[in-house]
Amino acid sequence: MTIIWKRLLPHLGTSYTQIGFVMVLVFIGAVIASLLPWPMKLIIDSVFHGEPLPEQLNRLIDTTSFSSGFLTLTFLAVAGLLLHVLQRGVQMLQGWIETGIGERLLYSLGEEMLQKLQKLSLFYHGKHPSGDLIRRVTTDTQCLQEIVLGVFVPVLTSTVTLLMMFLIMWQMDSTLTLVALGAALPIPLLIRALSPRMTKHTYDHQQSEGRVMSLAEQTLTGLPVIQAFGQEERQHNHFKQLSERSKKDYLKSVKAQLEFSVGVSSSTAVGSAVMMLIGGYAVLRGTLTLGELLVFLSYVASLYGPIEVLAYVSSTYATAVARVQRVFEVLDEVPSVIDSGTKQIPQIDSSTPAVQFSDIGFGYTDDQQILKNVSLSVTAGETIAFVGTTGSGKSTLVSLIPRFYDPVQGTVKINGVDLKEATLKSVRSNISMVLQDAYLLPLTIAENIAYGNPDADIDSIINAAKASNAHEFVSKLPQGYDTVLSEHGSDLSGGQRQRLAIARAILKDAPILILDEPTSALDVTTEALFFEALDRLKQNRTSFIIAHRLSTIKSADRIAVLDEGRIIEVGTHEELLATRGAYHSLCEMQLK
Amino acid sequence: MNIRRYSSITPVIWQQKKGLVQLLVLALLAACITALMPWPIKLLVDYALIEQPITNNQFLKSPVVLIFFAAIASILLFALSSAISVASSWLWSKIGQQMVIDLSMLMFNKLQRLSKIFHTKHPVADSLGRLTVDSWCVFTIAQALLITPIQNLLTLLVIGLVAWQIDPFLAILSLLLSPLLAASTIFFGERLRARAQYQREAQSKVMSFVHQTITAIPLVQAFGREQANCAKFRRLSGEAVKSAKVSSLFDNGFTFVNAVTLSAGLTIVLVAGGQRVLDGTITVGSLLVFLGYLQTLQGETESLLLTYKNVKSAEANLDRVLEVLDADEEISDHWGARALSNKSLHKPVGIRFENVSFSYEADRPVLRNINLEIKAGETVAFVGKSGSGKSTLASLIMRFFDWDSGNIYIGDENIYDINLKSLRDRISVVLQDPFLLPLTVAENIAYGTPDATRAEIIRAATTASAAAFISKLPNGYDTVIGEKGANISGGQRQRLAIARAILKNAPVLILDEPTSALDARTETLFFEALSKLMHGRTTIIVAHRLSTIRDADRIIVVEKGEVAESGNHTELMEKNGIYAEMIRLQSTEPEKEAA
Repeated sequence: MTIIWKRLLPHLGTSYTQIGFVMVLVFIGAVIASLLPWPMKLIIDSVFHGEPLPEQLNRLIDTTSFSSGFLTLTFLAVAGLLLHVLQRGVQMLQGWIETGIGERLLYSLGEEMLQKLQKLSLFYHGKHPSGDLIRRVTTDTQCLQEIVLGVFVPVLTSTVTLLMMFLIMWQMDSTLTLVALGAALPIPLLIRALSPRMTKHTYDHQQSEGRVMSLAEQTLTGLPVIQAFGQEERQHNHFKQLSERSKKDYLKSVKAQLEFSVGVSSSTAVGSAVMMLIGGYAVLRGTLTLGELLVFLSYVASLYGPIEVLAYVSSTYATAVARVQRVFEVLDEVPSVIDSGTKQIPQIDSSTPAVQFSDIGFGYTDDQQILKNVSLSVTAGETIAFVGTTGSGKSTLVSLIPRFYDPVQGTVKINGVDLKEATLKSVRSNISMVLQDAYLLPLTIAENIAYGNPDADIDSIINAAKASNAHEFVSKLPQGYDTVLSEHGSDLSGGQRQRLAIARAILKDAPILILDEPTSALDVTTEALFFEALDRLKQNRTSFIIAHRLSTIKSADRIAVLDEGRIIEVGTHEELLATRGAYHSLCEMQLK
Repeated sequence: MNIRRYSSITPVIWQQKKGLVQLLVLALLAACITALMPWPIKLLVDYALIEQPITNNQFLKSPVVLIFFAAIASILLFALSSAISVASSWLWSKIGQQMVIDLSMLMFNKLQRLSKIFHTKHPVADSLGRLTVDSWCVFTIAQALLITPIQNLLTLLVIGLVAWQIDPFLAILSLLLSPLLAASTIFFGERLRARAQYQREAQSKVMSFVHQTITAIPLVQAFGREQANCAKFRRLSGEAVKSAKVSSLFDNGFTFVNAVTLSAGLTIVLVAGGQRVLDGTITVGSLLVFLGYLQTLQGETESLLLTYKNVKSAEANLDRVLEVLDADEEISDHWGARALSNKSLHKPVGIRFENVSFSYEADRPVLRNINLEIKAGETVAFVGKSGSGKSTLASLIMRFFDWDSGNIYIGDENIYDINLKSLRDRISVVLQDPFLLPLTVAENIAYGTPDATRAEIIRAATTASAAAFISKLPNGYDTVIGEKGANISGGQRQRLAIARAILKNAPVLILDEPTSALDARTETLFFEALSKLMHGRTTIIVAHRLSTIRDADRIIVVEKGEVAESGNHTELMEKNGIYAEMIRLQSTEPEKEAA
């Protein structure tokens, strides 16, 4: 655990001075808090009962020539007011600084997480649902903030305040201080006895709330099926049942908290009653003034606050630790694709293949081989189509080119350079992709097209849109290129989304083009428009296409047929038909 | 504050009226106890320690006995007050949580009934947030509008009465504080709300940026946007930090001004009261009681102000809740809609469209005057461009949307006259996305028919050509499907969806582009399974891969929301119209296929 804290420390970075400042404010606040009951004490003892004012104060009042009771009273009352104002002022300043620190810590950790997640391969992202990763970036990063502001500062404040109060009490009357200690002692015991239960119930409640949430998520994502199969009632009952469960868990955690607060307040109540008894005697005997007794009573009443803080700190700490673990699970993930190469991908050279796969093996797990001994050489400017059944490994194979994954065995080269020896940046800047999912973001259409080239001017954006047959529909939209898309571009049709994806790839203008089932969601006519755009994009580029439809595949220079992770046939459409092999039977099936 | 805004949630609050009344009784008790709280001190100070005679009773004159009394009384009061506060916290947690659950149930049901139109406009994550986070507003609002003000008022009243008894002048002096507090609340209230709003917006910008980045990782990596994204995150979070700090400044400023006002009031009362003690008008003990009251009032006022602040932000949540609750429920049973008799549940049935027009938005018609008759047992394919309206046409049969004009009949019944449940009982669907739930394979197959026996489930799976791969799964039919069916391939998921449709055994079958994500070989398997299902049913297939629907009894070409062509494959090819053109586009080698 300590190692983890050490790793979190760098995030404090610029916040160090501010945390130091907060600590100073904590001390000032504690001093003021312990001074607060004193003006009242002096009023009762000196103004009402005629005891002499303490030496130091006397001098102050003499010099300002306060003599009458009323003036002393006013003086002390105003002093009390000033203490209050000062206390609030310090609190305000502290709150303001703490907000700044907390937010900065939150986002500094969030940024590191985001950076890491962007580096992790699709292999990692395939295994972890994006909802979970988002929660880790947005919620779990609160851990650092919780530890600094929810544990460290409150513990410091409470400890300093308690110490200060006991010190002053000890100066005034040791017996009564022991009584106060006696009142405070059961509280830590209560904490030890009850806090595991509080933590457990709180955790249970969070878990059952999570279950309600995921049920709701399933229901909303599967709504068409639920409505079509008339299962609303059943989902409703399930939701109700989980909600009731969550309510029960919530009430259990409330109950545990209430038990604790009853315990704490009864021990302070008994403490102040005993203090009234003993202190009352002391006042009667004259060893204690009435004012001093009141100071004691007010200290005992304010014991509750700091002690309660200490009680809850352990559960805040536990949550924070759980979150730290979730954060570090991401930060400690060893990237399967490491950007350690230093070479740049050279210009196309007609003597070396543009892309070369040599003896590639790949599998997510050892016993599940997705690619086996795949070798293939693609010359610059060639268009190659991959066909095969779902799960034959064709998508995985093309994903190796931009290093979404690294092969377990064998090498991939672009223009003669092993990808592992080149920088990731230079590899990916050589590749444009159009994927099955268009991945449109909730930005303007222009920003979506210029996603890979944020500096592109509007003319080149429009040219790219024209080349992808997207300009026509975009210019019909009320705000044209400034139209902000909804999430996933769900307000556009499938064909429109894919044409924007092509415009994006055109604008990137990279020598290698990868198309991973870009048309499976398109109908025939839209597809024709799409391919017209694609033909423009393919010119002078080395292209890889994965497709199901024959018409798409046929236009390729060469076709590679994959089956269970191996390339079983390579050749032109005519050649492959002539061999009457796997490709031939695939064609038959589709033209049946 | 618009009262009508609250009317949608009042029934939820009203349901807990018993608990609310109990809470109010407790609040009254708490106010009385609060008024008694400082009195043991007065007893101690005035009678025990300063030895004023309290009565002539010898026993009670003894200071020792009085001290003892004071101590006992203070313990009792503490015990009572803490018992009451525990009881009301408990009660409040209970009914508050119940309100939240009731409201989220209302929302959940509403969300389930709302049509695709709503859900396209509102992403799932957003609706989830409304359901789980925003539903808490009912708790805050009930507390802020019902409980806290009444509690505060009661306390104010009881304390005011007692204070008046002790010294009317000091009581009035204390009350003079309220206008000052009201002024500061008016000054800060609106500003606080606006700042909180800015802060929330800045925060949610960061959140949705993270969301969009992480859900589009392949794009991010392919286009090398990692550095740019980090820079944008830094910029957005910088703005969030700034607005949080401004908001915190306002927050703290509000608290500070109120606290200073209250302390100043306290000081004035202390000076005035102290003078009266010096005059001998009141005792030291009474002054302490007064100051105790003022501190209570300070606490009450602060809680009132805090509630005010909370209700301002709860109103924003309420708006989001109401957007769901008040959304037009496009699809609901019409008045007098009845159930179809169960006798005809499995008999093939025809479907007839009569002058049906439909549009999502007023000026953009999706379907125009559709007239179409589908005979019982017929297999009909809808083809056309994306956006032509073919999918919409099929969804109207299930009433996923309601149309603008015209009628649709199932058998001889107008769909509008039948209740939704009974209509949808007659239809089986296989959609483009199979939507498997994280249940076991068996439960997924039996999703529409929870009472199905294991034998029936296995038979359905066998018919759907799914039995073979299911038996290879680690736990067979009891394997729980991973999130979004991740451990099962697309073709297998579709076959499970078919098994589900088979088990439902409904007379009408609708297939909405079920194979667009499948490759040719998987598709063949799929259609093999399907042909068994289609037997003896009225089947509607929406397709864009034309090779899959060649054998349909009839092909309907939908173009710009109208039926453009209708006939079987051979007829349409002879006609040499839109369909023939589409076939040519999709495969330029029809000769080869004929050979």
